[in-house]
Amino acid sequence: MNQKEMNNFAAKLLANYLVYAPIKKAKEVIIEKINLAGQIDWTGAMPINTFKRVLLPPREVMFNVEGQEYKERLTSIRETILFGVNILDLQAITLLDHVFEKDVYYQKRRQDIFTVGLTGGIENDFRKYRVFHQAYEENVLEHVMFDVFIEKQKNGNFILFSGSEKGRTLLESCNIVEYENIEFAGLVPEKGVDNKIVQNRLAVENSEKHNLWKELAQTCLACGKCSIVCPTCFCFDEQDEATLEGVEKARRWSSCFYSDFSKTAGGKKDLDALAKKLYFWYTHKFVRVPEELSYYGCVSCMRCYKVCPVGINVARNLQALSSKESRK
Amino acid sequence: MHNVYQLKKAKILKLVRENDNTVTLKLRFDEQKSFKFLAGQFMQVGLPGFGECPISISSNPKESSKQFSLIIREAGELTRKLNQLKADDFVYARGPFGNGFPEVNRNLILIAGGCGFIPLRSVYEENKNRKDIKIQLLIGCATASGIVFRRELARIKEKHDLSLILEKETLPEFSDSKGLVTKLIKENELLADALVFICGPAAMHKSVIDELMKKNVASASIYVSFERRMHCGVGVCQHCAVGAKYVCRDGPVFGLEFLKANSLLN
Ligand code: SF4
Ligand code: SF4
Ligand code: FES
Repeated sequence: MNQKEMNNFAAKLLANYLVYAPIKKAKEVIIEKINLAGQIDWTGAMPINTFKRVLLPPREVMFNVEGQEYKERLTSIRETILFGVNILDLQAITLLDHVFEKDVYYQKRRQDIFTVGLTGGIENDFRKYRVFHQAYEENVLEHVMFDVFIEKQKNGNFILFSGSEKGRTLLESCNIVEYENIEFAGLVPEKGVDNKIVQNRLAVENSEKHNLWKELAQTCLACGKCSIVCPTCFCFDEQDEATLEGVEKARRWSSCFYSDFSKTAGGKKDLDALAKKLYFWYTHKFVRVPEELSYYGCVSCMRCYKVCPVGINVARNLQALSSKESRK
Repeated sequence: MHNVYQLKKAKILKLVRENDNTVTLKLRFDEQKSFKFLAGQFMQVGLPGFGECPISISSNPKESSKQFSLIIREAGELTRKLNQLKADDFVYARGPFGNGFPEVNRNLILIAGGCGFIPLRSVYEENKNRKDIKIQLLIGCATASGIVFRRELARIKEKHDLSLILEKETLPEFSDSKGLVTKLIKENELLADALVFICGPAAMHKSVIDELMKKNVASASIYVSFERRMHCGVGVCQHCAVGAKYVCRDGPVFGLEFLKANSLLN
Protein backbone atom coordinates (compact mmCIF):
# COMPACT_ATOMS: atom_id res chain seq x y z
CA MET A 1 0.00 0.00 0.00
CA ASN A 2 1.47 3.35 -0.94
CA GLN A 3 1.04 6.69 0.82
CA LYS A 4 -1.89 7.67 -1.39
CA GLU A 5 -3.76 4.49 -0.60
CA MET A 6 -2.93 4.94 3.04
CA ASN A 7 -4.36 8.45 2.99
CA ASN A 8 -7.49 7.00 1.38
CA PHE A 9 -7.76 4.52 4.21
CA ALA A 10 -7.42 7.32 6.76
CA ALA A 11 -9.98 9.40 4.88
CA LYS A 12 -12.47 6.52 4.95
CA LEU A 13 -11.97 6.19 8.66
CA LEU A 14 -12.52 9.92 9.09
CA ALA A 15 -15.78 9.71 7.20
CA ASN A 16 -17.20 7.16 9.61
CA TYR A 17 -15.45 7.59 12.92
CA LEU A 18 -14.09 10.09 15.34
CA VAL A 19 -10.34 9.92 14.79
CA TYR A 20 -7.55 10.86 17.18
CA ALA A 21 -4.03 10.90 15.79
CA PRO A 22 -0.61 12.45 16.34
CA ILE A 23 -0.24 15.74 14.49
CA LYS A 24 2.53 18.29 14.34
CA LYS A 25 1.86 21.60 16.06
CA ALA A 26 4.55 24.22 16.40
CA LYS A 27 7.58 22.05 17.13
CA GLU A 28 5.75 19.36 19.07
CA VAL A 29 3.81 16.30 18.07
CA ILE A 30 0.55 16.09 19.94
CA ILE A 31 -2.43 13.79 19.86
CA GLU A 32 -5.66 15.46 18.87
CA LYS A 33 -8.97 14.82 17.20
CA ILE A 34 -8.31 15.29 13.48
CA ASN A 35 -10.47 16.27 10.50
CA LEU A 36 -8.16 15.56 7.57
CA ALA A 37 -5.89 12.66 6.78
CA GLY A 38 -3.23 15.16 5.75
CA GLN A 39 -2.85 16.26 9.38
CA ILE A 40 -1.42 12.97 10.54
CA ASP A 41 2.21 12.89 11.60
CA TRP A 42 3.87 9.74 10.23
CA THR A 43 7.31 10.27 11.73
CA GLY A 44 6.70 8.22 14.85
CA ALA A 45 7.94 11.02 17.10
CA MET A 46 6.76 10.56 20.69
CA PRO A 47 3.73 12.83 21.20
CA ILE A 48 3.87 14.99 24.30
CA ASN A 49 0.41 13.81 25.40
CA THR A 50 -1.33 10.40 25.26
CA PHE A 51 -4.58 8.75 24.21
CA LYS A 52 -5.41 8.20 27.89
CA ARG A 53 -8.18 10.77 28.11
CA VAL A 54 -10.17 9.05 25.37
CA LEU A 55 -10.04 5.71 27.15
CA LEU A 56 -10.32 7.12 30.63
CA PRO A 57 -11.94 10.57 30.70
CA PRO A 58 -10.53 12.96 33.33
CA ARG A 59 -14.02 13.11 34.84
CA GLU A 60 -16.78 10.62 34.28
CA VAL A 61 -20.18 10.28 35.86
CA MET A 62 -20.83 6.79 37.23
CA PHE A 63 -24.22 7.24 38.87
CA ASN A 64 -27.02 9.74 39.21
CA VAL A 65 -28.94 9.80 42.42
CA GLU A 66 -32.58 9.44 41.45
CA GLY A 67 -35.12 9.22 44.22
CA GLN A 68 -33.66 6.73 46.64
CA GLU A 69 -31.31 4.96 44.26
CA TYR A 70 -27.91 5.36 42.70
CA LYS A 71 -28.77 4.87 39.02
CA GLU A 72 -25.95 3.54 36.89
CA ARG A 73 -25.07 5.91 34.08
CA LEU A 74 -23.47 4.23 31.09
CA THR A 75 -22.96 6.63 28.25
CA SER A 76 -22.32 5.60 24.67
CA ILE A 77 -19.61 7.30 22.71
CA ARG A 78 -19.32 7.71 18.98
CA GLU A 79 -17.18 5.00 17.41
CA THR A 80 -13.63 6.21 17.76
CA ILE A 81 -10.31 5.36 16.15
CA LEU A 82 -7.04 5.91 17.93
CA PHE A 83 -4.82 6.21 14.89
CA GLY A 84 -1.07 6.08 14.67
CA VAL A 85 -0.52 4.69 18.16
CA ASN A 86 3.15 3.89 18.67
CA ILE A 87 4.24 0.57 20.10
CA LEU A 88 4.83 1.91 23.62
CA ASP A 89 1.45 3.61 23.77
CA LEU A 90 -0.17 0.39 22.53
CA GLN A 91 1.45 -1.36 25.47
CA ALA A 92 0.08 1.30 27.80
CA ILE A 93 -3.41 0.75 26.38
CA THR A 94 -2.94 -3.00 26.73
CA LEU A 95 -2.19 -2.39 30.40
CA LEU A 96 -5.31 -0.24 30.88
CA ASP A 97 -7.41 -2.91 29.14
CA HIS A 98 -6.24 -5.44 31.72
CA VAL A 99 -6.48 -3.21 34.77
CA PHE A 100 -10.01 -2.15 33.85
CA GLU A 101 -11.05 -5.57 32.65
CA LYS A 102 -13.99 -5.71 35.05
CA ASP A 103 -14.90 -2.05 34.96
CA VAL A 104 -18.30 -1.55 33.29
CA TYR A 105 -17.62 2.06 32.33
CA TYR A 106 -14.27 1.40 30.75
CA GLN A 107 -15.43 -1.71 28.94
CA LYS A 108 -18.57 -0.08 27.61
CA ARG A 109 -16.52 2.71 26.07
CA ARG A 110 -13.78 0.35 24.92
CA GLN A 111 -16.21 -1.58 22.70
CA ASP A 112 -16.45 1.48 20.51
CA ILE A 113 -12.76 2.34 20.42
CA PHE A 114 -10.42 0.88 17.80
CA THR A 115 -6.66 1.07 18.00
CA VAL A 116 -4.54 1.46 14.88
CA GLY A 117 -0.84 1.17 15.62
CA LEU A 118 1.97 2.66 13.60
CA THR A 119 5.69 2.06 13.31
CA GLY A 120 8.57 2.76 11.01
CA GLY A 121 10.21 -0.41 12.31
CA ILE A 122 9.80 -1.46 15.90
CA GLU A 123 13.43 -2.21 16.62
CA ASN A 124 14.25 1.21 15.32
CA ASP A 125 11.53 2.74 17.50
CA PHE A 126 13.06 1.12 20.55
CA ARG A 127 16.35 2.83 19.81
CA LYS A 128 14.72 6.12 18.98
CA TYR A 129 12.65 6.18 22.16
CA ARG A 130 15.61 4.94 24.25
CA VAL A 131 13.49 2.22 25.75
CA PHE A 132 14.91 1.46 29.18
CA HIS A 133 12.33 -0.79 30.77
CA GLN A 134 12.06 -3.61 28.24
CA ALA A 135 14.22 -5.69 25.97
CA TYR A 136 13.38 -5.69 22.28
CA GLU A 137 11.99 -9.02 21.07
CA GLU A 138 11.08 -9.80 17.50
CA ASN A 139 7.62 -11.05 18.37
CA VAL A 140 6.70 -7.96 20.40
CA LEU A 141 3.47 -7.55 18.39
CA GLU A 142 2.18 -10.89 19.65
CA HIS A 143 2.17 -9.57 23.19
CA VAL A 144 0.43 -6.28 22.74
CA MET A 145 -3.24 -5.68 21.95
CA PHE A 146 -4.31 -3.74 18.88
CA ASP A 147 -6.95 -3.89 16.19
CA VAL A 148 -4.85 -2.82 13.22
CA PHE A 149 -1.13 -2.23 12.99
CA ILE A 150 0.59 -0.30 10.21
CA GLU A 151 4.24 -0.70 9.39
CA LYS A 152 5.84 1.94 7.25
CA GLN A 153 8.63 0.45 5.20
CA LYS A 154 11.87 2.07 4.12
CA ASN A 155 10.56 2.57 0.56
CA GLY A 156 7.65 4.59 1.91
CA ASN A 157 5.04 1.88 1.41
CA PHE A 158 2.93 0.38 4.17
CA ILE A 159 2.07 -3.13 5.25
CA LEU A 160 -0.89 -3.90 7.45
CA PHE A 161 -1.63 -6.32 10.26
CA SER A 162 -4.83 -7.15 12.03
CA GLY A 163 -4.75 -8.05 15.68
CA SER A 164 -8.41 -8.73 16.40
CA GLU A 165 -11.78 -9.53 14.90
CA LYS A 166 -12.63 -5.85 15.34
CA GLY A 167 -9.56 -4.97 13.30
CA ARG A 168 -10.39 -7.37 10.49
CA THR A 169 -13.92 -6.02 10.24
CA LEU A 170 -12.57 -2.49 10.18
CA LEU A 171 -10.09 -3.23 7.40
CA GLU A 172 -12.60 -5.10 5.31
CA SER A 173 -15.16 -2.36 5.70
CA CYS A 174 -12.55 -0.13 4.03
CA ASN A 175 -12.09 -2.71 1.25
CA ILE A 176 -8.62 -3.67 2.43
CA VAL A 177 -7.98 -7.36 1.97
CA GLU A 178 -4.21 -7.48 2.00
CA TYR A 179 -3.10 -7.82 5.57
CA GLU A 180 -1.55 -10.32 7.89
CA ASN A 181 -3.16 -11.67 11.05
CA ILE A 182 -1.33 -11.56 14.33
CA GLU A 183 -2.80 -13.52 17.18
CA PHE A 184 -2.49 -11.95 20.67
CA ALA A 185 -0.52 -14.52 22.67
CA GLY A 186 -1.01 -13.06 26.16
CA LEU A 187 0.95 -10.45 28.08
CA VAL A 188 3.86 -12.68 28.97
CA PRO A 189 6.22 -13.99 26.26
CA GLU A 190 6.71 -17.76 25.92
CA LYS A 191 10.21 -17.53 27.32
CA GLY A 192 8.97 -15.85 30.46
CA VAL A 193 8.64 -12.42 31.99
CA ASP A 194 10.96 -9.77 30.53
CA ASN A 195 14.12 -9.73 32.60
CA LYS A 196 13.98 -5.93 32.79
CA ILE A 197 10.69 -6.20 34.67
CA VAL A 198 12.32 -8.61 37.11
CA GLN A 199 15.49 -6.54 37.53
CA ASN A 200 13.77 -3.20 37.99
CA ARG A 201 11.30 -4.68 40.43
CA LEU A 202 14.22 -5.95 42.49
CA ALA A 203 15.77 -2.49 42.39
CA VAL A 204 12.62 -0.64 43.47
CA GLU A 205 10.96 -3.04 45.89
CA ASN A 206 11.93 -2.42 49.49
CA SER A 207 14.11 0.53 48.52
CA GLU A 208 12.01 2.76 50.80
CA LYS A 209 15.03 3.69 52.89
CA HIS A 210 17.21 4.49 49.89
CA ASN A 211 18.68 7.99 49.87
CA LEU A 212 17.42 8.62 46.36
CA TRP A 213 13.88 9.28 47.56
CA LYS A 214 15.02 11.92 50.01
CA GLU A 215 17.20 13.52 47.38
CA LEU A 216 14.39 13.64 44.83
CA ALA A 217 12.04 15.01 47.45
CA GLN A 218 14.28 18.03 47.79
CA THR A 219 13.63 19.11 44.20
CA CYS A 220 10.26 17.54 43.29
CA LEU A 221 7.43 20.07 43.48
CA ALA A 222 4.69 17.45 43.92
CA CYS A 223 2.91 19.13 41.02
CA GLY A 224 1.65 15.78 39.69
CA LYS A 225 2.36 16.68 36.05
CA CYS A 226 4.27 13.44 35.58
CA SER A 227 1.30 11.33 36.57
CA ILE A 228 -1.14 13.33 34.43
CA VAL A 229 1.01 12.84 31.35
CA CYS A 230 1.98 9.23 32.03
CA PRO A 231 0.07 6.73 29.86
CA THR A 232 0.16 4.10 32.61
CA CYS A 233 -0.99 6.30 35.51
CA PHE A 234 -4.64 5.60 36.05
CA CYS A 235 -5.42 6.19 39.70
CA PHE A 236 -8.69 7.94 40.43
CA ASP A 237 -10.91 9.43 43.12
CA GLU A 238 -14.55 8.61 43.36
CA GLN A 239 -16.79 11.25 44.85
CA ASP A 240 -20.34 12.51 45.07
CA GLU A 241 -20.72 15.88 43.44
CA ALA A 242 -23.64 18.26 43.55
CA THR A 243 -24.73 19.58 40.14
CA LEU A 244 -27.74 21.54 38.96
CA GLU A 245 -29.38 18.22 38.03
CA GLY A 246 -28.78 16.74 41.45
CA VAL A 247 -26.17 14.51 43.02
CA GLU A 248 -23.82 12.57 40.75
CA LYS A 249 -21.21 10.05 41.70
CA ALA A 250 -18.22 10.72 39.51
CA ARG A 251 -14.66 9.61 39.26
CA ARG A 252 -11.79 11.86 38.39
CA TRP A 253 -8.16 11.36 37.64
CA SER A 254 -6.12 11.59 40.78
CA SER A 255 -2.43 11.56 41.53
CA CYS A 256 -0.49 10.05 44.38
CA PHE A 257 1.29 13.40 44.59
CA TYR A 258 -1.88 15.16 45.72
CA SER A 259 -1.99 15.98 49.37
CA ASP A 260 -5.13 14.04 50.33
CA PHE A 261 -4.40 10.92 48.32
CA SER A 262 -3.88 8.70 51.36
CA LYS A 263 -5.77 10.72 53.96
CA THR A 264 -8.20 8.64 55.99
CA ALA A 265 -11.37 9.97 57.61
CA GLY A 266 -9.47 10.39 60.86
CA GLY A 267 -7.00 12.70 59.10
CA LYS A 268 -4.02 10.36 59.09
CA LYS A 269 -1.94 10.08 55.93
CA ASP A 270 0.10 7.07 55.11
CA LEU A 271 2.00 9.07 52.48
CA ASP A 272 2.94 11.93 54.78
CA ALA A 273 6.24 12.86 53.13
CA LEU A 274 7.17 13.58 49.55
CA ALA A 275 9.87 10.90 49.62
CA LYS A 276 7.15 8.36 50.41
CA LYS A 277 5.02 9.57 47.52
CA LEU A 278 7.87 9.25 45.08
CA TYR A 279 8.56 5.73 46.28
CA PHE A 280 4.86 4.94 46.08
CA TRP A 281 4.72 6.18 42.47
CA TYR A 282 7.60 3.92 41.51
CA THR A 283 6.21 0.92 43.38
CA HIS A 284 3.01 1.20 41.38
CA LYS A 285 4.86 1.02 38.10
CA PHE A 286 7.72 -1.29 38.90
CA VAL A 287 6.31 -3.49 41.67
CA ARG A 288 2.51 -3.63 41.80
CA VAL A 289 1.84 -3.88 38.08
CA PRO A 290 4.44 -6.65 37.61
CA GLU A 291 3.12 -8.39 40.72
CA GLU A 292 -0.37 -8.52 39.31
CA LEU A 293 0.12 -8.82 35.56
CA SER A 294 3.81 -9.62 34.98
CA TYR A 295 3.67 -6.71 32.56
CA TYR A 296 5.15 -3.27 32.05
CA GLY A 297 3.86 -0.69 34.51
CA CYS A 298 6.05 1.82 32.67
CA VAL A 299 6.46 1.76 28.92
CA SER A 300 9.62 3.90 28.72
CA CYS A 301 8.00 6.82 26.87
CA MET A 302 9.88 9.42 28.95
CA ARG A 303 6.95 11.84 28.97
CA CYS A 304 7.26 12.20 32.75
CA TYR A 305 10.80 13.44 32.32
CA LYS A 306 9.93 15.81 29.51
CA VAL A 307 7.10 17.40 31.45
CA CYS A 308 8.87 17.59 34.81
CA PRO A 309 9.76 21.19 35.74
CA VAL A 310 12.80 19.98 37.67
CA GLY A 311 13.98 17.25 35.31
CA ILE A 312 13.37 14.16 37.40
CA ASN A 313 14.44 11.28 35.19
CA VAL A 314 12.90 7.86 35.69
CA ALA A 315 15.50 5.99 33.64
CA ARG A 316 18.33 7.51 35.62
CA ASN A 317 16.59 6.86 38.90
CA LEU A 318 16.19 3.18 38.09
CA GLN A 319 19.89 3.05 37.38
CA ALA A 320 20.67 4.70 40.68
CA LEU A 321 18.49 2.21 42.51
CA SER A 322 20.06 -0.76 40.72
CA SER A 323 23.68 0.13 41.22
CA LYS A 324 25.08 -2.04 43.97
CA GLU A 325 27.00 0.63 45.86
CA SER A 326 23.91 2.73 46.28
CA ARG A 327 21.89 0.02 47.99
CA LYS A 328 21.92 -0.03 51.71
CA MET B 1 -21.39 -7.02 33.52
CA HIS B 2 -21.66 -6.63 37.28
CA ASN B 3 -20.97 -3.08 38.40
CA VAL B 4 -18.76 -3.26 41.50
CA TYR B 5 -19.43 0.41 42.17
CA GLN B 6 -23.19 0.02 42.50
CA LEU B 7 -24.32 1.16 45.95
CA LYS B 8 -27.51 -0.47 47.18
CA LYS B 9 -29.77 0.95 49.80
CA ALA B 10 -30.06 -0.75 53.15
CA LYS B 11 -32.71 0.09 55.67
CA ILE B 12 -31.81 0.86 59.27
CA LEU B 13 -33.74 -1.73 61.26
CA LYS B 14 -32.34 -0.62 64.54
CA LEU B 15 -29.94 1.95 65.80
CA VAL B 16 -27.97 1.73 69.00
CA ARG B 17 -26.07 4.72 70.28
CA GLU B 18 -22.81 3.43 71.71
CA ASN B 19 -21.36 6.72 72.92
CA ASP B 20 -21.21 10.41 71.99
CA ASN B 21 -19.77 9.80 68.58
CA THR B 22 -20.48 6.17 67.77
CA VAL B 23 -23.57 4.38 66.64
CA THR B 24 -24.34 0.79 65.66
CA LEU B 25 -26.65 0.41 62.69
CA LYS B 26 -28.46 -2.85 62.11
CA LEU B 27 -29.18 -2.95 58.40
CA ARG B 28 -31.05 -4.88 55.78
CA PHE B 29 -30.78 -4.74 52.00
CA ASP B 30 -33.87 -5.27 49.86
CA GLU B 31 -32.27 -8.55 48.88
CA GLN B 32 -30.61 -9.50 52.10
CA LYS B 33 -30.98 -13.28 51.66
CA SER B 34 -28.15 -13.70 49.20
CA PHE B 35 -25.77 -11.44 51.14
CA LYS B 36 -22.73 -13.25 52.56
CA PHE B 37 -19.55 -12.04 54.20
CA LEU B 38 -16.60 -13.18 56.26
CA ALA B 39 -15.54 -11.74 59.59
CA GLY B 40 -12.96 -9.03 58.89
CA GLN B 41 -14.39 -7.97 55.53
CA PHE B 42 -15.63 -4.43 54.99
CA MET B 43 -18.26 -2.52 53.04
CA GLN B 44 -17.98 0.74 51.15
CA VAL B 45 -20.68 2.79 52.85
CA GLY B 46 -22.13 6.04 51.62
CA LEU B 47 -24.87 8.62 51.56
CA PRO B 48 -25.87 10.62 48.49
CA GLY B 49 -23.84 13.81 48.45
CA PHE B 50 -21.38 12.61 51.08
CA GLY B 51 -19.31 10.04 49.21
CA GLU B 52 -18.19 6.69 50.57
CA CYS B 53 -15.83 5.24 53.11
CA PRO B 54 -14.79 1.75 54.15
CA ILE B 55 -16.42 0.34 57.30
CA SER B 56 -15.86 -3.13 58.75
CA ILE B 57 -18.90 -5.31 59.13
CA SER B 58 -19.36 -5.95 62.81
CA SER B 59 -22.11 -8.54 63.02
CA ASN B 60 -22.06 -12.31 63.07
CA PRO B 61 -21.49 -13.68 59.54
CA LYS B 62 -23.89 -16.50 60.35
CA GLU B 63 -26.74 -14.00 60.48
CA SER B 64 -25.88 -12.43 57.15
CA SER B 65 -29.00 -13.65 55.40
CA LYS B 66 -31.15 -11.63 57.81
CA GLN B 67 -29.15 -8.51 58.55
CA PHE B 68 -25.70 -7.01 59.01
CA SER B 69 -24.35 -4.35 61.35
CA LEU B 70 -21.98 -1.48 60.94
CA ILE B 71 -20.45 0.43 63.82
CA ILE B 72 -19.88 3.98 62.78
CA ARG B 73 -17.58 6.31 64.62
CA GLU B 74 -17.57 9.96 63.68
CA ALA B 75 -14.34 10.85 61.96
CA GLY B 76 -15.38 13.04 59.05
CA GLU B 77 -18.39 14.53 57.33
CA LEU B 78 -19.88 11.28 56.08
CA THR B 79 -19.56 9.42 59.35
CA ARG B 80 -20.97 12.42 61.21
CA LYS B 81 -23.97 12.36 58.94
CA LEU B 82 -24.33 8.61 59.41
CA ASN B 83 -24.39 9.20 63.13
CA GLN B 84 -27.42 11.46 62.77
CA LEU B 85 -29.66 8.92 61.05
CA LYS B 86 -32.76 7.34 62.58
CA ALA B 87 -34.43 3.95 62.33
CA ASP B 88 -36.06 3.36 58.93
CA ASP B 89 -33.63 5.75 57.20
CA PHE B 90 -31.48 4.34 54.45
CA VAL B 91 -27.75 4.01 54.12
CA TYR B 92 -26.04 2.88 50.94
CA ALA B 93 -23.46 0.15 50.73
CA ARG B 94 -21.53 -2.08 48.36
CA GLY B 95 -19.38 -5.07 49.09
CA PRO B 96 -18.27 -7.03 50.98
CA PHE B 97 -14.63 -6.42 50.08
CA GLY B 98 -11.32 -7.84 51.27
CA ASN B 99 -10.17 -11.19 52.53
CA GLY B 100 -11.36 -11.39 56.15
CA PHE B 101 -9.70 -13.17 59.05
CA PRO B 102 -8.51 -16.76 58.72
CA GLU B 103 -10.65 -19.54 60.10
CA VAL B 104 -10.63 -19.71 63.87
CA ASN B 105 -9.53 -23.26 64.63
CA ARG B 106 -8.04 -22.78 68.07
CA ASN B 107 -7.96 -20.33 70.97
CA LEU B 108 -8.29 -16.71 70.04
CA ILE B 109 -6.68 -13.54 71.36
CA LEU B 110 -8.20 -10.28 70.15
CA ILE B 111 -6.06 -7.19 70.62
CA ALA B 112 -7.47 -3.74 69.94
CA GLY B 113 -5.82 -0.38 70.43
CA GLY B 114 -7.22 3.11 70.06
CA CYS B 115 -10.73 1.84 70.83
CA GLY B 116 -10.36 -0.12 67.61
CA PHE B 117 -12.35 -3.15 68.64
CA ILE B 118 -14.71 -2.47 65.72
CA PRO B 119 -13.03 -4.61 63.04
CA LEU B 120 -12.71 -7.46 65.54
CA ARG B 121 -16.32 -7.34 66.58
CA SER B 122 -17.52 -9.64 63.82
CA VAL B 123 -15.01 -12.35 64.59
CA TYR B 124 -15.95 -12.09 68.26
CA GLU B 125 -19.65 -12.39 67.49
CA GLU B 126 -19.02 -15.41 65.31
CA ASN B 127 -17.05 -17.27 67.94
CA LYS B 128 -18.30 -16.06 71.31
CA ASN B 129 -20.53 -19.02 72.05
CA ARG B 130 -18.10 -21.73 71.07
CA LYS B 131 -17.26 -24.25 73.79
CA ASP B 132 -14.23 -25.72 72.04
CA ILE B 133 -12.04 -22.62 72.23
CA LYS B 134 -11.18 -19.88 74.69
CA ILE B 135 -11.24 -16.21 73.82
CA GLN B 136 -9.13 -13.50 75.39
CA LEU B 137 -9.69 -9.81 74.70
CA LEU B 138 -7.16 -7.06 75.34
CA ILE B 139 -8.47 -3.59 74.67
CA GLY B 140 -6.76 -0.24 74.92
CA CYS B 141 -8.54 3.06 74.66
CA ALA B 142 -7.70 6.71 75.28
CA THR B 143 -10.55 7.68 77.61
CA ALA B 144 -13.61 6.09 79.15
CA SER B 145 -15.90 8.16 77.00
CA GLY B 146 -14.27 6.67 73.92
CA ILE B 147 -15.13 3.10 74.80
CA VAL B 148 -17.55 1.81 72.23
CA PHE B 149 -19.28 -1.09 73.93
CA ARG B 150 -19.36 0.19 77.48
CA ARG B 151 -22.76 -1.41 78.09
CA GLU B 152 -21.62 -4.77 76.86
CA LEU B 153 -18.17 -5.02 78.30
CA ALA B 154 -19.42 -6.31 81.63
CA ARG B 155 -21.32 -9.04 79.84
CA ILE B 156 -18.35 -9.95 77.69
CA LYS B 157 -16.22 -10.07 80.80
CA GLU B 158 -18.48 -12.63 82.43
CA LYS B 159 -17.94 -15.01 79.57
CA HIS B 160 -14.41 -14.33 78.43
CA ASP B 161 -11.10 -13.11 79.69
CA LEU B 162 -11.40 -9.38 79.01
CA SER B 163 -8.85 -6.76 80.03
CA LEU B 164 -9.16 -3.11 79.31
CA ILE B 165 -6.83 -0.23 79.93
CA LEU B 166 -7.16 3.50 79.37
CA GLU B 167 -4.36 5.78 78.39
CA LYS B 168 -5.57 8.90 80.16
CA GLU B 169 -7.60 7.71 83.15
CA THR B 170 -8.28 4.69 85.30
CA LEU B 171 -11.44 2.64 85.22
CA PRO B 172 -11.90 0.89 88.55
CA GLU B 173 -13.87 -2.09 87.29
CA PHE B 174 -11.09 -2.92 84.82
CA SER B 175 -7.76 -1.48 85.73
CA ASP B 176 -6.22 0.69 88.44
CA SER B 177 -3.44 1.87 86.20
CA LYS B 178 -3.20 3.83 83.00
CA GLY B 179 -1.40 2.78 79.86
CA LEU B 180 -1.49 1.35 76.39
CA VAL B 181 -2.68 -2.02 75.25
CA THR B 182 0.95 -3.18 75.14
CA LYS B 183 0.91 -3.00 78.92
CA LEU B 184 -1.94 -5.52 78.99
CA ILE B 185 0.06 -7.89 76.81
CA LYS B 186 3.01 -7.55 79.13
CA GLU B 187 1.07 -8.04 82.34
CA ASN B 188 -1.44 -10.71 81.37
CA GLU B 189 -0.91 -14.37 80.88
CA LEU B 190 -1.78 -15.01 77.26
CA LEU B 191 -3.84 -17.97 76.11
CA ALA B 192 -1.59 -20.75 74.90
CA ASP B 193 -1.70 -21.98 71.32
CA ALA B 194 -3.88 -19.13 70.17
CA LEU B 195 -4.48 -17.18 67.02
CA VAL B 196 -3.90 -13.47 67.61
CA PHE B 197 -5.89 -10.88 65.70
CA ILE B 198 -4.85 -7.25 66.01
CA CYS B 199 -6.49 -4.03 64.98
CA GLY B 200 -5.92 -0.40 65.77
CA PRO B 201 -3.86 2.54 64.55
CA ALA B 202 -0.84 1.67 62.42
CA ALA B 203 1.45 3.35 64.95
CA MET B 204 0.62 0.67 67.51
CA HIS B 205 1.11 -2.41 65.30
CA LYS B 206 4.81 -2.68 65.78
CA SER B 207 4.87 -2.19 69.52
CA VAL B 208 2.08 -4.73 69.98
CA ILE B 209 3.90 -7.26 67.82
CA ASP B 210 7.18 -6.66 69.62
CA GLU B 211 5.45 -7.35 72.92
CA LEU B 212 3.92 -10.56 71.53
CA MET B 213 7.33 -11.68 70.29
CA LYS B 214 8.72 -11.19 73.78
CA LYS B 215 6.05 -13.60 74.96
CA ASN B 216 7.09 -16.10 72.31
CA VAL B 217 3.90 -15.98 70.31
CA ALA B 218 4.60 -17.59 66.94
CA SER B 219 4.51 -15.07 64.09
CA ALA B 220 2.55 -17.52 61.96
CA SER B 221 -0.42 -17.14 64.31
CA ILE B 222 -0.51 -13.33 64.27
CA TYR B 223 -2.79 -11.36 61.94
CA VAL B 224 -3.24 -7.61 61.62
CA SER B 225 -6.19 -5.72 60.16
CA PHE B 226 -5.14 -2.58 58.24
CA GLU B 227 -6.94 0.69 57.69
CA ARG B 228 -6.38 2.85 54.63
CA ARG B 229 -8.15 5.42 52.53
CA MET B 230 -10.18 3.62 49.91
CA HIS B 231 -12.09 4.56 46.79
CA CYS B 232 -12.62 1.57 44.52
CA GLY B 233 -12.40 -1.39 46.92
CA VAL B 234 -11.16 -3.69 44.17
CA GLY B 235 -7.43 -2.99 43.75
CA VAL B 236 -7.56 -0.46 40.93
CA CYS B 237 -7.58 3.17 42.17
CA GLN B 238 -4.28 2.79 44.13
CA HIS B 239 -5.40 4.71 47.20
CA CYS B 240 -4.92 1.84 49.62
CA ALA B 241 -1.75 0.31 48.19
CA VAL B 242 0.99 -0.93 50.52
CA GLY B 243 4.14 -2.20 48.83
CA ALA B 244 3.14 -4.76 46.22
CA LYS B 245 -0.37 -5.22 47.63
CA TYR B 246 -3.74 -3.57 48.08
CA VAL B 247 -5.37 -3.36 51.49
CA CYS B 248 -8.84 -3.39 49.91
CA ARG B 249 -8.35 -6.59 48.00
CA ASP B 250 -5.36 -8.51 49.39
CA GLY B 251 -6.16 -7.34 52.94
CA PRO B 252 -7.41 -5.76 55.06
CA VAL B 253 -6.12 -8.70 57.10
CA PHE B 254 -2.45 -9.58 56.66
CA GLY B 255 -0.51 -12.36 58.35
CA LEU B 256 2.59 -11.24 60.20
CA GLU B 257 4.80 -13.59 58.19
CA PHE B 258 3.60 -11.90 55.04
CA LEU B 259 4.08 -8.42 56.48
CA LYS B 260 7.63 -9.26 57.47
CA ALA B 261 8.50 -10.85 54.14
CA ASN B 262 7.26 -7.73 52.35
CA SER B 263 8.66 -5.16 54.80
CA LEU B 264 5.21 -3.79 55.41
CA LEU B 265 5.56 -3.03 59.09
CA ASN B 266 6.90 0.39 59.85
S1 SF4 C 1 6.48 16.34 37.37
FE1 SF4 C 1 8.44 16.38 38.45
S2 SF4 C 1 8.17 17.96 40.05
FE2 SF4 C 1 6.08 17.42 39.32
S3 SF4 C 1 5.43 15.74 40.74
FE3 SF4 C 1 6.35 14.75 38.95
S4 SF4 C 1 8.50 14.40 39.58
FE4 SF4 C 1 7.67 15.97 41.00
S1 SF4 D 1 8.49 6.78 31.13
FE1 SF4 D 1 7.39 8.02 32.66
S2 SF4 D 1 5.54 8.73 31.60
FE2 SF4 D 1 6.38 7.06 30.37
S3 SF4 D 1 5.32 5.22 31.14
FE3 SF4 D 1 7.23 5.37 32.29
S4 SF4 D 1 6.67 6.50 34.13
FE4 SF4 D 1 5.00 6.85 32.64
S1 FES E 1 -9.39 1.08 47.40
FE1 FES E 1 -8.81 1.32 45.31
S2 FES E 1 -7.01 0.10 45.21
FE2 FES E 1 -7.78 -0.31 47.19
